[in-house]
Amino acid sequence: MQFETEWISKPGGRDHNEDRCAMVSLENGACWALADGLGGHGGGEIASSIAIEAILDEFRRNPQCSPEAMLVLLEGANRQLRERQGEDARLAQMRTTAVVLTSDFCSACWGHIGDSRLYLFRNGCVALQTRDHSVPQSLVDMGRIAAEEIRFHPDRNRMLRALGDVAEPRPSIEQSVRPLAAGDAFLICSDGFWEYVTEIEMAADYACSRKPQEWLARMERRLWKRAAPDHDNYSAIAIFSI
Amino acid sequence: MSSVRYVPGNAQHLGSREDQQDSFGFSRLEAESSSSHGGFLAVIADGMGGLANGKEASQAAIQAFLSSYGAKPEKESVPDALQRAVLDANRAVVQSGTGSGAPGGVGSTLVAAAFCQQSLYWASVGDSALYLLREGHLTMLTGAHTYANDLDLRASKGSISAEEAISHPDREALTSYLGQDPLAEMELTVKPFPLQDGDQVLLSTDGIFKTLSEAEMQDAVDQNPQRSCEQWVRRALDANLEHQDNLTVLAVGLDSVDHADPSADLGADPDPERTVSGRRQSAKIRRQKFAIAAICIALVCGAIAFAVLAHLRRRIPLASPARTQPAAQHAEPAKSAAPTQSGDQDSRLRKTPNALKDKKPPQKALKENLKF
Repeated sequence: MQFETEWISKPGGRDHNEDRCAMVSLENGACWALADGLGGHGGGEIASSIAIEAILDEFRRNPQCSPEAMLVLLEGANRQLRERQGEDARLAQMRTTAVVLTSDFCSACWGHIGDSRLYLFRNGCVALQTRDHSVPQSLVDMGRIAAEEIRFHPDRNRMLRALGDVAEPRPSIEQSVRPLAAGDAFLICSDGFWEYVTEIEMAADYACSRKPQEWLARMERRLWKRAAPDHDNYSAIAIFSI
Repeated sequence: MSSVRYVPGNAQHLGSREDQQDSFGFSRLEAESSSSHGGFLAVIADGMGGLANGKEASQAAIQAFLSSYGAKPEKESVPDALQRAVLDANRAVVQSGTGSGAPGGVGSTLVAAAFCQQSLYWASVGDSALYLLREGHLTMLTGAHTYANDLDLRASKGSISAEEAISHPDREALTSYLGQDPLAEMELTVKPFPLQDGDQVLLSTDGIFKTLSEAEMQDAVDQNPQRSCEQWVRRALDANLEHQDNLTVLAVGLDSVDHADPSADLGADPDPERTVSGRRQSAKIRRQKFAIAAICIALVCGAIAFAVLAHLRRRIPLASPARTQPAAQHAEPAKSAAPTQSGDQDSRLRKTPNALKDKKPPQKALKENLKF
């Protein structure tokens, strides 16, 4: 099993990009991470950078693909973020979402906190997607709104969990039930991306793309056609297993 | 293997133009069973160019496309066959432009949808559109080949502002269309797009979606593909635009006879006793109900297919050579195909509404032309 990876991370209609994407590929495994930071005084950028670096550094030290190892990656990132918050009062409010995917080139494991997402496409369909830690997702869980109403919900930016929270981080962690197969694809993205591209559009653009960069370019076109001029930062990592 | 029925529909209208420059076609439904490797095909084209050239271009595109795709050998993949057919259609449009003495001034969009069992494949050049109606939600599957793509890419890199990109006067200009030599760009599925029972796929020319909003289009669709087509056209005409472009809509509904569970491939446990309503029934009752349902569906599909095919024969020939349609007395170019002036825009085709010629007030013309 091999992977082809491509990502985009852009400021959108804003002056600064507080999203970060990165990956590391080692002999025994690979790790991808995306973070969408928030907080004043440049805190958003700092938070997402700290989280991504902490996650990749820890994976390099211990390249394991398991739910236990995933929890270690996310808790370590949270610890470093909390330490930095304590060192600089202006950064005390900084927080970040995180999505992390690890693979041993056979199976996969992923964890997330906040409203950045991971999708797995299998046989051309969305086989699974992570559930946001957000107010509108809770309303979906309670049966109060339909899943497709999340994108337009007035509280869509109200996150219930993030790295950097005072409370202990409670990430959601999952593992692939079946081994990965050639033709599987992952899409990891921040809310500035998925808000403007629906799942059916992701699948349609996937059907038209031989390479992950083509897939991202098609979805980015849709995003720009729909987004307001001052739209949010957006980032996406596309991973094809081949 | 589940058996899938395709239920087609179509509607077409001149709008406020005097000439119909849109063309469309279906492969024969009955051919689907005998040559299932190519599936069932729906294709639409929106011609551009002066006088009768736009009509000729779209007709040439449809005919070349259908005959090229119809010659698909079994070992050729659907995406490869679609790509080959688009290139053949492009050659046909280029030749039609040369023959009319207006090279470079003739063009056509094209969207083709191939239905193979539970999968959809498509090819698109230009800005005609393919939609999926699933569970009441309408999604445009295709992206358009317009200058907006270049502008938005520049905006995403910060080299121009988002406002500049949005307000650029050439935003809608086509960057790829049949009639270019060589063809600039083609959207092509390289993998199957899975369909579900109850899905409806619609193809339309820009006369529809430049008149109606996405919400209006979603509101106007119907479970019945023929009614969807008629209602999109009717709603667009209700907007009463003074310069209403030609309107063409095709729809194909998907009706899986054995109601196979689309989630089965993803590891869900398909329950053989489960019916559409979720109740359990004895095998005998199920078989009886199944037979009755199958007969009903067959009768309805047969009636619709007959109506559509009869309709098609009146409109455009599918396999036979071009049938000349009566030329409009005061034919008017529906879309100016003149290349734009500035140097970096030469490859673009500007689609601009034309002023109508005198004659009838548009409303009256619309009423007279309102037939499906």
